Amino acid sequence: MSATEAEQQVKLVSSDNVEIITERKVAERSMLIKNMIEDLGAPGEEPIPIMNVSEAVLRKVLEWCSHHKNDPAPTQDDDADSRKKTTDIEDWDQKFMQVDQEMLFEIILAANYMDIKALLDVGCKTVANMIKGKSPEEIRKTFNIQNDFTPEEEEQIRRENEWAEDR
Amino acid sequence: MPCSIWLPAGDFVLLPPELLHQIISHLPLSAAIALKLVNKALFRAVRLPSDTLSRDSRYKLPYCEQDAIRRNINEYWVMKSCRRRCAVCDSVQHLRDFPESSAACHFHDERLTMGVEEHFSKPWDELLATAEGSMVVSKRPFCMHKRELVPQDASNCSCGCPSCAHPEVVCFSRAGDLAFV
Repeated sequence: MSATEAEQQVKLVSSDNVEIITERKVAERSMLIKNMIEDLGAPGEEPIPIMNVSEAVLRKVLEWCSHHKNDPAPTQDDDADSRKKTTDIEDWDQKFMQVDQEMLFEIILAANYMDIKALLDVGCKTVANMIKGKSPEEIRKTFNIQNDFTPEEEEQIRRENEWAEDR
Repeated sequence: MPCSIWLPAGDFVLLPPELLHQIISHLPLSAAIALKLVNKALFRAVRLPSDTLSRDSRYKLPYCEQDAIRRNINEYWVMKSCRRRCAVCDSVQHLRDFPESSAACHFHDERLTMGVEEHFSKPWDELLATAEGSMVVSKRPFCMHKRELVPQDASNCSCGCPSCAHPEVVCFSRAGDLAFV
């Protein structure tokens, strides 16, 4: 992509029909948008619909894309390394992910839909860090999940996993 | 191609399976087991690698990983017996001695959670420079495995274990003299 192409503006339309104009380079962090631009051939003229992402979430996703617009494309090795440590999240990304749970899951779903692997990875790591070190009951409280096991099922599960009792 | 299924967000259990699996891929075995024991949907969705469940492989796990697995599986019995183990002092106490959602007993939880929020936005160096000789308050990661503060100049604790939690705790300190309270 040439410098002129990178500075081109593209029009995105959120699911609630709000038009957002952004740099092509920023928008193309999303493989979905990149492929659509390539298919359309004339970026900036036709608005690109982002069917499943609301305005608030799309703006948040574009904020991340804007901050990371100059990041090099990840290699296979980078992917493998970044998976080893769940706590390895950049400071800026950590602050970016300090949102309520609803927005956090919306960002993860949007990153998945828009095919932004790095953002999806940061979102998943953030959720993994929220789970790490917690017991089942603490996880229920964190994510407001109801325990629907019957006492009989609870006892059966624990009996089947008794191997962890002794050491 | 990314997932085309769209579900209402804000509910962890409604995440598409491929996203759930991606989250689980970042978890140590103990945390994956804890997640599996949360409810029926997650019990079905979370698949543990079969080689991790054999008798031989469990002894190869680090001590605190084994401990975390045992704690997660036993939580039901512990809750039933109305007693649990404090994650900080390791003593077994009655449930009434624990704040509702805490892994630490009342005595330690109060020290983990009490805070003076206005101090936390200041960088550590600035705190020490401005408050020489007096007590300053800051938040620091506390390793639940080693039961000690992660050193200020270290990015992670020395236990090197992926299973232990590192909640932020409130520290009162003087310049060069750090104390966990």
